[in-house]
Amino acid sequence: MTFGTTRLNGNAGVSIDITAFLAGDLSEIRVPALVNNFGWQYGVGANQVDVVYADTITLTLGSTVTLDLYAGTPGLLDVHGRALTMEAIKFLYVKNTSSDSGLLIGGGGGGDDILIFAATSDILYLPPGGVFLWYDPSAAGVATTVKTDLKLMDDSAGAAGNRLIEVIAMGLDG
Amino acid sequence: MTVGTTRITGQAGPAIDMTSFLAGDLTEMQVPVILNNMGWTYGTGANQVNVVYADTVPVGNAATVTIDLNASALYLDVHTRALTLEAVKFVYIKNNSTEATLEILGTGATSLGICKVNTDVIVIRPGGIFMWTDPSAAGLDCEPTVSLKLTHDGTGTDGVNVDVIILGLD
Repeated sequence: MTFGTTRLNGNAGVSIDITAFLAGDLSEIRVPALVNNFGWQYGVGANQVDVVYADTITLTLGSTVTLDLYAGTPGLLDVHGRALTMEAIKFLYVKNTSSDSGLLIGGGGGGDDILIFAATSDILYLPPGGVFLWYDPSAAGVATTVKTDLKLMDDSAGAAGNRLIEVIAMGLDG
Repeated sequence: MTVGTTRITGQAGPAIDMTSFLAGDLTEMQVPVILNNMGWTYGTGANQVNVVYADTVPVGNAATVTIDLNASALYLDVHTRALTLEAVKFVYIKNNSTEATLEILGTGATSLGICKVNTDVIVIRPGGIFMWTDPSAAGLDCEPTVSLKLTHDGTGTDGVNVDVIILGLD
């Protein structure tokens, strides 16, 4: 069997459909805030990706997992079960499903963190239940061949046990 | 006219409906990745907010704009009342520039505490977006003086219009 041509299509981004109401005596002001989702296609141009990684990572109290998106470690596979060799990232979604422990993203400080922050020592805090989403729709995306790592750290705030971290990354295959 | 009771309904969050295909000789593997949006209601509990800020903020070339979230006379909520957020639960920022990178946060002591260290900076590339949520009842405290800093990195010659939507507690 020959595995080859891959297609990919759909929407991935932020969708906002919020309406805020302010009541008066005889009237009510309604202000909608709308943001449409974002379309992606298969390819290597702007708004295009050709590899998808989607998995749930398990952290324990105070532990750290470093995902190397280019080298595919530790044992990272794309959604088709192939070794992950992402050379540029365009979309990143992380959800901390813990109910009591915060998640720290990035900040390896060793110079290998993917450049979604200004410096490799910068760290995003994601509270229990929180979601972080970032994308770069350019043709090139953010290269992950040298700065390869996505570091996930439990902040030790919760009880002992496992924390499940949802990660979805889309980009260009190496 | 008595202006008072406010309601908020709707959804705001990540939404993913992607399908990846891998072709073989006689078959094609299809892997859907689906993520539903996130519902918010009016109130002060978990997954609840009671104030919405939504605006497009112009930032000049190589300039910085600092939005005071807690005690602003300049920035208004969607009902044009002075923005007095005491906690933030949802932040959406889009860089509408086609050439300039937007750097957010990093104000120091008054920086909105999305990062572990208040001098940390997140980078949003041209056309890119950043979204962050804290669905807890308390949210992320932004009193007494907390701000969201938006900085144009100086690339190109034009300023940038930045879409900002924030949900939180008044």
